[in-house]
Order: sequence, then C-alpha cells, then structure tokens
Amino acid sequence: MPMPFEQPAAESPQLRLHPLSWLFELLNVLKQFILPILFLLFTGKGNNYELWGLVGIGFMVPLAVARYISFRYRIGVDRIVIRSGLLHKTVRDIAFTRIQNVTLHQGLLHRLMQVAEVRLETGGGEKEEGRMRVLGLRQARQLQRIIRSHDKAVPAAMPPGGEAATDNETVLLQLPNRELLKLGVISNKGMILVVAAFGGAFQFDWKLSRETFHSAGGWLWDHSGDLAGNGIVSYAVGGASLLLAAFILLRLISMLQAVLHYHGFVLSGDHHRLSISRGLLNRFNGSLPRTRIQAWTLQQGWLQRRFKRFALRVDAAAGGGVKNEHMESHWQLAPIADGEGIARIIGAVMPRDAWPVALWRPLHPDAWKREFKAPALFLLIPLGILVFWFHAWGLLLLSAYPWLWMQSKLWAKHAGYSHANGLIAVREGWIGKTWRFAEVRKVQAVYLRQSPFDRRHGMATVFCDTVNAGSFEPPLAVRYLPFAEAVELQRAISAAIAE
Amino acid sequence: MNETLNDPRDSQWHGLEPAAKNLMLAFTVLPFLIPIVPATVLPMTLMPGWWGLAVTFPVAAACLVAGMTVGHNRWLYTRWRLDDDGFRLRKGRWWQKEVFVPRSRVQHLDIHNGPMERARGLATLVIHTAGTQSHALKQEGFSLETATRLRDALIPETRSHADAL
Repeated sequence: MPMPFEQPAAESPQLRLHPLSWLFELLNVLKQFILPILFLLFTGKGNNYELWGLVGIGFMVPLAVARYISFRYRIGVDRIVIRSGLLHKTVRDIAFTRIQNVTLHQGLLHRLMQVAEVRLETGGGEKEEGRMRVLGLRQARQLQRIIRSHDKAVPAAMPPGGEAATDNETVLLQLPNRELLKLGVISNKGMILVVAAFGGAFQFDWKLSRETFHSAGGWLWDHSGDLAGNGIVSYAVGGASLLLAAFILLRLISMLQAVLHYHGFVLSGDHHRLSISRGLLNRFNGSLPRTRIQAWTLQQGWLQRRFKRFALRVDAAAGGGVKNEHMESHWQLAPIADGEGIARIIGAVMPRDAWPVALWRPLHPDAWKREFKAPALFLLIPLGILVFWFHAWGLLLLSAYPWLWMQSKLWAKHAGYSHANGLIAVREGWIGKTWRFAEVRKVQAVYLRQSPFDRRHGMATVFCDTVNAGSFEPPLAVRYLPFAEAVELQRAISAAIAE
Repeated sequence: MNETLNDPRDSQWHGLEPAAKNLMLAFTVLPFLIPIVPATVLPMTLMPGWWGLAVTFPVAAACLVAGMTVGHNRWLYTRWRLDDDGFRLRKGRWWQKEVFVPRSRVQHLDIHNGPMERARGLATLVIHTAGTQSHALKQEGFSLETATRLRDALIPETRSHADAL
C-alpha cells in the first residue's frame, strides 16, 4: 500500500496533552525521591545527601510546564505526528500500521484525575516510540480505538480458524477475587517481595542490617541459658510455630499482591488482538496483536494441580527496550485459569484442532535412563564425602536412589511431544508440569543435536528456535528422541517452515 | 544402531576451504597453550637445574597435540549444504548439531573478512534471523567467492510483512 507522505493536514487539528500533564511529568521526576523521604519520615534515619536532589525541583516545575506547552500531536488519516521539545525540537511521524501496541497506564492519581499515560510501541527500536504523559482518559481511549481500528484494514496473516471475521470483542478470561485469592495461595510472590523490601531497606541504611543481625544474635546469646533449662523441645515447638506464622504471613502478602496486581483482570480478544486490563490501584490496559504471539508456556505446579488450575503465558515479539518491563515482552495471558479457560484462550489464537493435543507421542523407551544416570552419578560425590565423615551412616544417602529411579520413570512416562495441526508441542515434568508449544510457522530455525551420550543410546534432540524466547522459559526442545524419529521430525518441521 | 549425525564422508555436504584449515588450527590451538605457562614456571622454580623442562616438554607436547586434534576436527566436521529451501550447517565431532535456516526466515546477511582472512581469500558469513539462539549464525572458513554466492542465494525474497513474525 503506497503511503502518501503528505497528509491533508489542515483538517486534523493539533492537539495537546491534558492540562495536568506537567504535574505527572514532575511526579515522574520526583518518584526517585519518594522512598528516601518516606524512610526519613518513618525512621528518622537515613542519609541527608540523598535529599539534596530536591533542590533541583525548583527548576523542574517550569521545565515540566514548558514540556507540556511544547508537546503537540496530530492524528492523521493513517499516522500520528508528535512534536515535542522547546529548544531541540523533535517531530516524530508514526504510521498506525507500524504501531504494535498501545498501552494505557493508570496509577492511583491518574484514576482520580481521569487521565492515563499512553505508550505507543513499535516493533524495532530501543524504546517505545511515543510516550504521552498524560492524556485525558476519553482522548486516550479514542486514540487507542483509532489505532486499533486501523489495523483491521490490513488483512491478518492467517485468520484463526478460518471463521468469518467478527469485530466485537469476546471475553476470554475474567478473574473474580476468589480466583485471585487462590492465585495468592499458590504463588511465592510474597517471599520475593519481602526479600526485595529487606534489600531495599538495607541499601538505604547499611547500619540497619548490622543492627538487625546484632539484636538477633544478642537475643540468642541471652537466651542460651534457658535453652539448657527448658530443653530443646519447647524451642523446637516455638521455632516451628514461628515458621508456620511466617509462612502464613507470606501467603497473605502473596494474596494481597495478587489482588492488587490482577484485580478486575479481563482478557478479551477480537479478530486481531488480545487485550488485557488489570490492576486495583495501578490500572494497566494493553493489547497484543495476535501475529506477535510466539511460543507459549503452560505450567502447573503441585499446588496448582490441587486446585485444578494452570498458568499460561506467551512470548511476544517486541522491541528490545521493553524487555525490562516484564509484562510486555512476556505476556501473562492467564495467571490462573482452569483447563477449560486455558483451552478457550489457546483456541482463540491457534489454528483449529491444534489444542488440546489429541495424541502425545512418547520419547525413546530408554529416556528414563538418561534422566536417572546424570543425577545418580552426581550423587556419588556427596555420598563419598558423607561416607568419609560419618562412615557407615553416610550410606543412608543411598536411599535417595530408589526415589531417583522412581522419579525418572515417572518423568519419562509423562514426557512427550506432538507435531500435528500446525503445532509443535513438548510436555515435561512430573511434580510440576510444563507444556511448551508454538505454531510451527513461528519457528525460525530448527536444530538437531546429538551429544556423545545421545549417540550411545541412539538418541537425538530437536530444538525449535522462536522469536524472543525468554531465558527463563523452558526451551521448545524434544529431548531423548530415537535418532531416526528425530531426523524425521526435523525434516518435517524444516519442510513446514521453508515453504 | 548408534547412527552418527555428522559424518565427514557424506558427499552431499560441502566441507570448509582447505585454505581455512591452518587459520582455524592456529586459533583453536591458542587457548590450549595456556597450561604451558604454569607447567614451565612451577617446575623450573621447584626443581633443581634444568630438570623442570622434563615436565614442561611433555605437557607442551600434549597441549599442542590436543589443540591440533580439536582444531582439525573443527575444520573437518564443519559441513554445509545449500538447498532450494534454505541453508543447513553441521558442526562438531562429539557434540554434534545440525542447524537448518529456511530462506524465508533469513532477515539479513553479513560477510566479514579481516586481514588474516583477506590474505587467504577467506570470509566469514553471518546469517541473521529473528530467532533467539539463531539471531546471528556465524561461520568462518568459506572462500570469499562461496560466501558471496551463499549470501546472494539466501537473500530473502520480497514478501509480505505479515510473514514470520
């Protein structure tokens, strides 16, 4: 489609940000001082020099106002033109078709003032191309709608399921608070938050950490006399109840975090994109074009299986700059959902009949030996050390071997792969299960690998490389395949993506 | 049973340039020579007279042989094939792998040749894809002519934007 560079500009007026924009601009600068101030208020400690930066605020206010005055944008027929800068002027011209994602961010203050921060993300580049801090909520939604309505004009690469295009969004997943509480029970976010909070506090005041450990150590020292008197049992009971209390507290924090983060979670999809909105105080509203979805990860831990729930996330092809914002390069499509909900979400994006996988093919019959041997050999090292120290008692470690044997047998029984209906899928795991899958046409390169150990057992590994595969995601790799089957699978995938 | 993936006698696959062999050997051997330094310094300080050399020479010989073997295998076992649909590369003697990059997934291609490669008429081909591990597949040891031919053969055809991503 030829893009006329000159638009009939006269008819679309130049627009400005929300009049309160300068306030949010200023708050954004102030954000880094908030923690030291709070810390100072609450503890009366801290280093004063961290507050010296506040002096600069006197200069910041006029700058923020100037930024508001100089920022203008114009919505053309197929593009948005953003002008900014007071002395150093920048004109940014972004075609709607190049915009991959429009997100609205709302903090508490944003919501009180009925405004939102709009980010326009394009595929390449180091950071998002356009950041509009802030627009009135109505204008923001309108802009989002204009940009989204525009990519409906471009035909999608492959209409999912080949159905007739429907423009109205359908809700794929909605999380009521009961589900969020379950999510809190399952997740370990509470512990991560507490550790991060301690780390942050120690960073501001290094003496704090020393005092904490001193007082803890001192308490133990003072009470060491009682230990002999009262006996170890009461201390063990006390310690256990303390641990239990800590565990419950952490779970409560997890639940609170889940509710704050995911309150009002709605995942909806139309013909072209999936949209997510969530958050209690900080409201997030973003969308992901279906074509940007790469590989999928489905997980079910032990606790999740008790609740019959799964977690689903996808890798999204996105610019390098958004990688640090975890949410936006790896989308948590369903933090918690039952099997039905998962199938509904996957079915909305994948080709028909791709999911759930009808037939999982098994690995090499000797696959369990490979899973068993490596840890079994490794276990010989601690075994040797224990026998050296504790003599015959060290042999107790041998009891780990039956467990290893059973767990590798079960692991192999649950592992499998599938290549059918335009989908390549791998499943692994026994106590915690993982499914990793992608549409075959999303595969960028196919690897066939054979280690010396593979060769001994007549096995090989097939690995499919996809775009922006997260380093914490399991690889889309089928391990321990019979060699001939691996070659066959690699040929089949190669042929499918080379067309 | 126990078929091997990478067989240098397979005539359907091309090896690297003979001219590349010595360069590859030299660069592979270099890290293998590092143990020679402690194997010289320690015996020479700890043992009387020139007896230390009795340790140094065998160690040096072993390092050299190991490095040469690995380098030779690296050269011999790197094999490639250009098909209608894309590029295939096999590597490795013990840890073997075969990569297939379809032409439809190639983003762009680079040819590097430094002064050492230029003197021998060699070049390094880098194939860029949108993938994570395969975002830049780099293979040295082609002749400049072959590298250019591969580059021209693999340049992605004009296609719709909606592909691949």
